[in-house]
Amino acid sequence: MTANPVFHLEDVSFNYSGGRPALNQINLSLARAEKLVILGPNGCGKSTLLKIFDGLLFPTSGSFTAFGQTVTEEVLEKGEFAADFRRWVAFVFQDSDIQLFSSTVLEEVSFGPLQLDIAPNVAVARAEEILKMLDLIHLKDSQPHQLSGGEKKKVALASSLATGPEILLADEPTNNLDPRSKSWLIDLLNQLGEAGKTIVLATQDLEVAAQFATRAVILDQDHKIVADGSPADLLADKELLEKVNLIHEHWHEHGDKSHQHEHTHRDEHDHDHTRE
Amino acid sequence: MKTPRWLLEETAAVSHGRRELRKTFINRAEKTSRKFLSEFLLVNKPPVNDGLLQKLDPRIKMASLLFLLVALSLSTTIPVILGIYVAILATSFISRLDIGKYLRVTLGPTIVFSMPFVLPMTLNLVTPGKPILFLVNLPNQILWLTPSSQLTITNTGLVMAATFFTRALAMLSATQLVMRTTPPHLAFASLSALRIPKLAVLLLRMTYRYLFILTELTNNVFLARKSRTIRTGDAKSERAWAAGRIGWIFKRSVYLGDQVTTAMISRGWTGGYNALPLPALKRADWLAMGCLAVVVTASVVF
Repeated sequence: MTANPVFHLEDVSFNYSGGRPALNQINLSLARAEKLVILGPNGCGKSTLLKIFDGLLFPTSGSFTAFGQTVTEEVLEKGEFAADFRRWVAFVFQDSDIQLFSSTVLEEVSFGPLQLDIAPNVAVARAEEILKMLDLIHLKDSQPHQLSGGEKKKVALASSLATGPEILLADEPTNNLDPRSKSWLIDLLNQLGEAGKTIVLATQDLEVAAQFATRAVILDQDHKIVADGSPADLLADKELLEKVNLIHEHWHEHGDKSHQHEHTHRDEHDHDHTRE
Repeated sequence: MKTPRWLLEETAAVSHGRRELRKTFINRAEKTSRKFLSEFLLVNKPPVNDGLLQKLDPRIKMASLLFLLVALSLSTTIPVILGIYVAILATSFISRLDIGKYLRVTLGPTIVFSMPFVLPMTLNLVTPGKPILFLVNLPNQILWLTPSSQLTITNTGLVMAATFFTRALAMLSATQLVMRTTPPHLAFASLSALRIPKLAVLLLRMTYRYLFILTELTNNVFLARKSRTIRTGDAKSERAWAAGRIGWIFKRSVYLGDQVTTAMISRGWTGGYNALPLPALKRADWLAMGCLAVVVTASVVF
């Protein structure tokens, strides 16, 4: 177990209503400043795990400890820990439209600080700083439906960062991003990581895992952790990745050449064609 | 994975006879939702900033609108109501609104929605008074029900109908004027300043925001159907399809609401709501409020 973990899950299982399982006997500790990527196929429980980390869902069995405090629904509904927890942990949702519920970008980004009782002038100054940092300041009076998919994603990230979190959780953050925005996002996450922030990403994007994470865990279709280690080691284990349906192998042709190799399920045919 | 053979074969053209896409209520609904979206985006374009009303504080505009609506509902004199209407038109002109469009969105709905009330109001059967236009003799069978054997338009009825119509027109014009010169987020913020409960304002804001998302979703559902429709079904199956989609969109909106709540909780929302404050009022705002107070008082007194 990690010494003084910021998050610790012990034998955590989670079932949705109707008994549909989403997580099965998860044991996981997360150290401060760790850059963790949770990999797994569709429906393996990645998003559920992030929602438990963010105190939005609570384990059906087992326990979740954050900053040394057991997190339960009751603890987050009452008491001072709740406000600290919300300040320290931020979540970027997969669907930006869910997260962008305010009338303008500035209102959206200042929403979190205002709800955490930060003075309005400080909240606005902070929101504007974040918008400048993400090169979004020109959009501050825009309404969410006027933004492109990439801009929505950036505003969602800005609104999560505005509370000054210690831990950033992001669900499929590179979805709907063009290659340049994706590269920009990875750079930003690395920069936040170097500043000592703890970052947890749930993704199927192996490229993100390779370029960003210091640790990776893999969930399988039985909703269990089947591997936990360095991204380099796990991504080199083709057999494991194929078994959990993160890559697949097939033959295909390019002109007069045909060859066989592994593909991730994303960017399927974006690979080096010198291999044969 | 085995791909079915028919999927790999070329799809040849096949004559199905004459298949016409009739105009059904689903086609009309699709067009209406598309029109709503384009209108919505148009209304939400940032209004010109150098018009008269655009420079005023939104709180003043919302408070003025409230007072004006009260004054209009209390005023019973047509010249006063018409005077206010002319003032509203003049303000919309100074505020650099597209007057043609402005008249269309105010006059059109007023005519459509007030006529069912206004037309019967002019008749002697509803508003007794001095007849000014004979319409028709009433059949003997219903004379026991009516105070008169003739159907006429009365003087009093005409005045009441004109008052009702001009009042409705002035009210809608004033509301449209404020809506078209105030960005929605400032309009909502000013509602909070007018002591409307913050949570109610938050709900209004979010309704406004997600109305757009759900309309877009509805429109996409219509388009997805259209892309695979080669002939229109009978009325019964069309109704069944529409009912099914309404149910699906309702379920989707419930799911969306649930997810939005979790996104709000994630950022520290606990049931109350702290909004961004509006800047302090300027001298011009107070001056505008004073002018309006004079207009409102005069319209109520006269």
